[in-house]
Amino acid sequence: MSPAPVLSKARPVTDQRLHCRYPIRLELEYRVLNKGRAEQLGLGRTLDISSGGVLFEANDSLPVHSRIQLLLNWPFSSEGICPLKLLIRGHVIRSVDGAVAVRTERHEFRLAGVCSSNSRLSGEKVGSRMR
Amino acid sequence: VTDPPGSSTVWIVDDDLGFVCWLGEIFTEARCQALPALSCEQALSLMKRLDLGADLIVVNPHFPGVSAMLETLSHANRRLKVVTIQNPSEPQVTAVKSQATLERPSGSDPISRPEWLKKVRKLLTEVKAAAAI
Repeated sequence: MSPAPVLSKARPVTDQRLHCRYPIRLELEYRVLNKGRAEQLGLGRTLDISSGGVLFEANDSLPVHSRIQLLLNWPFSSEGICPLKLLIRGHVIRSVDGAVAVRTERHEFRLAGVCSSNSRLSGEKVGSRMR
Repeated sequence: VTDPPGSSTVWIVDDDLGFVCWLGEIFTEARCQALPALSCEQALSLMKRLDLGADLIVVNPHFPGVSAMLETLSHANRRLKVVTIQNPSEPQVTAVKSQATLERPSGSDPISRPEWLKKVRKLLTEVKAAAAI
């Protein structure tokens, strides 16, 4: 049974943490959403991740202020399996020269089982965090 | 914790997504299997569902339910090691018993991969030594 989403009980994020950007390079899929429907799909790679946002590189320019979903594999586990996926929801706040900045509103890990090509943007939710 | 290489399972339990991903990468580079959770409740749930234990847990000591989670995990693994995450410029949380602390970088700190790898390797040695006492 999945636990209820984790929403608010952790201590508030401090200003210092908001500004700390970690240089992490992970492959991702993105979906630009309009009224809940995917308007634009693509692949990218993170440049950095902070507690409040993600900067990633993409071939296409994305519309500023649009809603976006990012899906990343959690790559740091056993060989041959990638049981967790990270789903991030937010808004595009900047898209310049192939670098897209997203302000994170919510993120969650999902159980994905054994890696497969059809597991994209699917999986079983195990918890989430709203910013 | 580090012997044999690759066999240690490290859980990173924190709500700072960037820090969780960063530690995941660094612990993997230090030849551990790293897994994330955004809360204590989620960590316990994931361990159960993935049928994975914990050799080391790196946890935000301010989280609700942290003591209960560590007690549960300690019963399952008497050799469990605990590292608490400390926020910069804040006093250390002593209510949660741990073998070591790891300070979260502040926004002004440069993030250096080699330095963090060195820091994590030292941490792994420290917790191993502390657990042996």
